[in-house]
Amino acid sequence: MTVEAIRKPPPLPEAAAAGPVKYAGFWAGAWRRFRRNRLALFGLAFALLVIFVALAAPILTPYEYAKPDFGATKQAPTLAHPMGTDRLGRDMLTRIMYGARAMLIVGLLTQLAGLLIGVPLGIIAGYAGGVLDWLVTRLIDLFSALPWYLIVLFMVMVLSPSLRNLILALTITAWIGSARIVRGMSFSIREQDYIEASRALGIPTWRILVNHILPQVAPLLLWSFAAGIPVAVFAEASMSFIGMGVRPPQPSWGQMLNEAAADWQSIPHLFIFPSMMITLSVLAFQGLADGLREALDVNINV
Amino acid sequence: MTLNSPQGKQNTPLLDVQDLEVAFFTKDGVVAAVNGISYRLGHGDILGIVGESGSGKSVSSLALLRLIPEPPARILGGRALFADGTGAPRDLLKMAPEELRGVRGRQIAVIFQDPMTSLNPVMTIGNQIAEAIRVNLGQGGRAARKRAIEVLSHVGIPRAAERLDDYPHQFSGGMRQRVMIAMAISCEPKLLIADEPTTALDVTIQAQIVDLVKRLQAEMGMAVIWITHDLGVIARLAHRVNVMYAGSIVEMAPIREIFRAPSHPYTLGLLNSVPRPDLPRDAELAYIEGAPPDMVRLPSGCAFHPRCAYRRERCLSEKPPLLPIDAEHSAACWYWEEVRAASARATPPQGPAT
Amino acid sequence: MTTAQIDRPILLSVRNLKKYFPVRRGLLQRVVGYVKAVDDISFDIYEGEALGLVGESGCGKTTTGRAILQLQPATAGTVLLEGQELTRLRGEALRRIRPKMQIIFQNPYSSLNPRMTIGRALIEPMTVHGVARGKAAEERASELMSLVGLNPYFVNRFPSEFSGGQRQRIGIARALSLNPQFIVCDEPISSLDVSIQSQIVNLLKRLQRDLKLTYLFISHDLSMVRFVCDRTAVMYLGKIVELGESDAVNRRPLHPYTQALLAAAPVADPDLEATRTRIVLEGDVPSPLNPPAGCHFSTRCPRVMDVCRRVEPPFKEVEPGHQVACHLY
Repeated sequence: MTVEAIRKPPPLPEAAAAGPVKYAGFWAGAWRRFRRNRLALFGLAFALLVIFVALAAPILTPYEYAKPDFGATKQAPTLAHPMGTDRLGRDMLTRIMYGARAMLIVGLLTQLAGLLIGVPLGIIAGYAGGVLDWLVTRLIDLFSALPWYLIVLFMVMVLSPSLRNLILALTITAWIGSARIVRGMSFSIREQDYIEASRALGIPTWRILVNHILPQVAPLLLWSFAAGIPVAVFAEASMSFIGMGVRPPQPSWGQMLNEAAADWQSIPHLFIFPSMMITLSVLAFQGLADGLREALDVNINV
Repeated sequence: MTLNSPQGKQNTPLLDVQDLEVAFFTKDGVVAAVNGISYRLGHGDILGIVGESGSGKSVSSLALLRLIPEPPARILGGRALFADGTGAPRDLLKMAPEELRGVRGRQIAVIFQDPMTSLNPVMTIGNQIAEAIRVNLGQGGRAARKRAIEVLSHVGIPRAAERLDDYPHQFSGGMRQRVMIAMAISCEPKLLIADEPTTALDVTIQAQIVDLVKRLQAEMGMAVIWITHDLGVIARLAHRVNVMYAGSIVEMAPIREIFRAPSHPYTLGLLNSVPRPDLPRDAELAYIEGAPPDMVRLPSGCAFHPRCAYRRERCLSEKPPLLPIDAEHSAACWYWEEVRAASARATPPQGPAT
Repeated sequence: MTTAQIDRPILLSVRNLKKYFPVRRGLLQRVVGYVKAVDDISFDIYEGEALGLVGESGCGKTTTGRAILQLQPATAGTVLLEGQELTRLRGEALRRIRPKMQIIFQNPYSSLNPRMTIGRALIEPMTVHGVARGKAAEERASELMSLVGLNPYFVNRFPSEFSGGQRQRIGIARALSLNPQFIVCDEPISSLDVSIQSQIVNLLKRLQRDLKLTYLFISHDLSMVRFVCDRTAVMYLGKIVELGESDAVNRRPLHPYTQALLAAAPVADPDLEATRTRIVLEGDVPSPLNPPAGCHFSTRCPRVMDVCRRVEPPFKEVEPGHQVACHLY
């Protein structure tokens, strides 16, 4: 071995020394990818707008959602009532605004409850394997085989229709999606060398689950959360439509549709605005979820 | 073509690659995968292409048959004249897809690192080989089957006739690679491109495959391009070597020359970073500083300069072309004489006493 | 060196270690057989020594490393680390002994958590075991980075920002974070580029010398093992077939399999390649589910005798410090 063979390169002049490439962090990269998707951007903007309107409704509108005004019934859209008034003379725009509350509460709460049940179940089943995994998998299979629409209908009927009971009923099936995703992820992450490294380093199991597996699952959950909302929105609307959801006089878009059903041909605006809102929000949340899936590289990073 | 060659048509190379340039257009930027490489391959030659991952060794060879994903890849320029002996050399890069299909498999065959990706898992080995024979040679039915048995036993698969109806998963890794080779040689190609065919195999199986290809090459007289990162395999097999780094050929030499008098700092570094059997255990192993470059942001001048022990001012700004050392040996280094002198002083390698 | 070696105290002692994986089939998942990945092996590792474990894929070398570290429970046998029996430890007791023994992985990509900064990956084990906390842990993380040749400034970066060689350095730093005595290096260089391999080998050797570490160095590359390790053990189909001083195993291999392995390894020298004697083994490694009777190597051995197919050869010392399992000796 000659000295030449192991001699080191001379120091590089400052300019030529190519500094380490600056990489964007995971979330910065995700935002960059998300921005490229127009539908996702629309979804995000719409979701933020709906949330803002729902929260700020009392400030934004001079009318009350429940107080009839028999002097101004069935009015077509005017400046004072941009979406017209309903059969009891209540401002449609106001009712749409307050109706967003029902949609959001149902959408967010059922998804949140689903996560609270599904994530721990999935993570533990995937990581532990064995009997526990078998049990959870069968449970998932069982619940996904059930006709959820009928169950929800049945439960609400038994418990009496109300917003709370609707959320409760929807939660029964809402955990399946996240549990299934998390179980799969947890199962494949368990096989990674860095989990074995953590075990070799004597990291306690609960820490492995919380510090190593959960952060990997997080982006996926975000997507699953967003993707579950349109389902819940649709469920709320249809349940309220058949009178199984939000009780009047509290407004909900589905219930407003129901009220419009009788004379939708003569007063189309009663029908047009709620159905437009339902369609738009389902589209928006779906777009948001799709954008998140692309942005978070859900398939690639598994 | 023949006009430039003083020896006339006799010496028209089988393959003449000129200024081949390939880039990948990705969302992170343009990956300069192959940066204008030129080489010739004679009839019946075994050419080893050595390089690390990302050096462009595979891309530059697979691009000849358009076996790279386009997009994101794009062939930016160059020619690849292929002389199959039936007429004037034709440019592979300008061929219509139809014409290229006639060359692929029939004239130029390829084997890959992972045979599983190129074998159909739900089709028997016999049917796959027979299909290749039918498509390329126009033989069908019993003739194709007979030929399949012939090539399978030729590549050393025991009881070939019985194994014809087995599926790929019923073969071991080494046997699968033999099946791939059988399929490749079934049409007696003029050129076999082997893309790291033994990298995934164990050393004892690797030795079998290398010996097999060597034997087949001698019997059939085909030319071989053997792509690898392992200089040891090259030493056993190849006649000539191209060493690639960062998408360029940095050294080109007959096999003995590259080991006896490496004249590019990268080649020298690679050779020295393998522990010799006589290297004392308390010694430090020679190594190459740093890591392979980011192919999106290649260093200025000579791409190897940030890692090079022989670097001077000039290397930072001027990219050295392949400079001729003698008729068959060239190196892309401004200071190859220094490198050559250093390598000449190194102790000659000694093998293990077996 | 030979005698000095033997005088050293034994750090790790493996006796009759077995690791069988049950093979299940059918609807009821009935056990139809066992893959004998590690089949009754015994050896000692001396303090401060590097023992090489060489063999082809599927020979059981990686499983041996995992079973020693109790990352996979052994089927039978004992593993003594400084006299303490490891195979019976469970739960908290096992967790508490883990700092003494660590592992460096083959794949530098899957061995680091992509969502965890380097700094956190280094600090977490220290906090868990109370080696250092807060500022002290941060300082120690920086020290570890410098120790393995990385800029301590990089602690806040994620694994994706590093090259394969740098990641392997991070993996080494993590293994060192708990001041282990014994490290299993599981093919630590085989997935790296050739020009990077020697950097990592030099680093591992320097760390061993400076920190007085003991290695079990698992590899398929005999020449690298000779360079790194004091002694070399050769495995074939779950058994150790030869064990001795690295130089002796390389210069005077006794077992026909070791001889074939050495002959098959390509040497970067065409003249030597052209002249040296070649032993090309026929066929493939048999399935560990159904290994041949007698000597496992008998189906491929160029010097096979009748007895080899019937009687399993004992593992015996034929030269001082050089053991082999072969009927020829």
